[in-house]
Amino acid sequence: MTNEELARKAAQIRLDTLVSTHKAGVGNIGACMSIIEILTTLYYGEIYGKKLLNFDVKNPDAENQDYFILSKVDAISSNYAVLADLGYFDKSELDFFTKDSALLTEFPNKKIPGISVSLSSGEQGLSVALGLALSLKNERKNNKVYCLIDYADLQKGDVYEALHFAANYKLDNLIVFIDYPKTEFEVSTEKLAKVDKIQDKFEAFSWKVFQVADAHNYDQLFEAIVKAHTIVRKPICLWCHTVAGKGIDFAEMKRGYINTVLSECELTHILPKFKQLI
Amino acid sequence: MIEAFETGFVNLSKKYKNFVILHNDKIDLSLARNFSSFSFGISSKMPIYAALGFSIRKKLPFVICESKDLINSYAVLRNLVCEPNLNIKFIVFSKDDSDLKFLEVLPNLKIFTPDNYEDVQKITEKMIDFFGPVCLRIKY
Repeated sequence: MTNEELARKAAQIRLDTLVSTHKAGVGNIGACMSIIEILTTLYYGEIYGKKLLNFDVKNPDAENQDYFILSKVDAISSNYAVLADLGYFDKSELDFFTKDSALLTEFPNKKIPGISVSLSSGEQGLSVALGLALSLKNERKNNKVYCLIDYADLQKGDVYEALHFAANYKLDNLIVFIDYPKTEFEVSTEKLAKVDKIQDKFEAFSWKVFQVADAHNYDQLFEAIVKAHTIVRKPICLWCHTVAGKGIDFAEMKRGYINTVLSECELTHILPKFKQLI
Repeated sequence: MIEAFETGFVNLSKKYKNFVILHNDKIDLSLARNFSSFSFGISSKMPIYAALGFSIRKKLPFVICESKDLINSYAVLRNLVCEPNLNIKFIVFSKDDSDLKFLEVLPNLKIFTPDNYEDVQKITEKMIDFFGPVCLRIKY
């Protein structure tokens, strides 16, 4: 796919995510919108004519596949929108997101096609990704494990245990995206911790860190991923600077749109813009 | 009792190959040196997290730890292993029965507490016949 096609796909995923979260009344618009470009790059992107993320929709448990684990669990609805678009399950399932007895649950669940593991909290995904990468290394497979974690989850202890052991086992097949949005709950991320300090911490654990200055720019994302693929004997962290609520003019970087969904009026206002982009 | 488990595990390994041992360094096992195994220092949670990753690859992970490690990792054990009924086996060394009340209420978890050498060996050999999480508690 070209960058223009990826941008159109991103608009489609944004639209599907907004509609499904609106119908459910559950979701985190800020978190969902900030990672759409990362998701579309992974699932639809190609490097040197090959799919970036090797997967088989018809056989989700295929032996020879790459894995993506979304540890940022509050943005799971955007991952569901991608999986529905790829055909893992029917798109109508998005209308029943979080409803009783529905396939799509509020947290990632292993029973959902395309989801590898059940998670209940944001700090768990990286540790599971470590186990997966270790298993692939043990089997001498070249497949990659991609994991996306939220910046806020770096405040939790399990993440640092995973950082330590991933470097200890030299898991160069583990690539972690860190979503660093411009807003985070009630305080700005800049006030919580300086990026450079966190980068130093990763490097102190013997990780290789690449910063992606604008993770909504496909060229920059692809460039970082190509660099990540060249690293050996070190796990890789891609530090992605994003904008919370990206794509929705009135919600970008606004704290009021974290942990909430769009109202009927807001959705009606924004729908024509995305339909135009598709 | 540890010897009984090790003997049972060697017998099991003659019939079944697709397993991996994930342990922390709190238990001294000569067994771990002879099979595909990974150590996670003194971490309580990481062997369980890693087991989740191995189970995605259709491996059969054996997590070997102390009972207090399972209690430390209770939320992970409940939400990520027992609730989705993943095929992960736990060999848990415990000094008393204080952990039993916690483990009994976990969904899908089958618990065995053998109290003699023969039973430990037999259950070790048979535990893979039960699909889902199984906890073999060994007193030491």
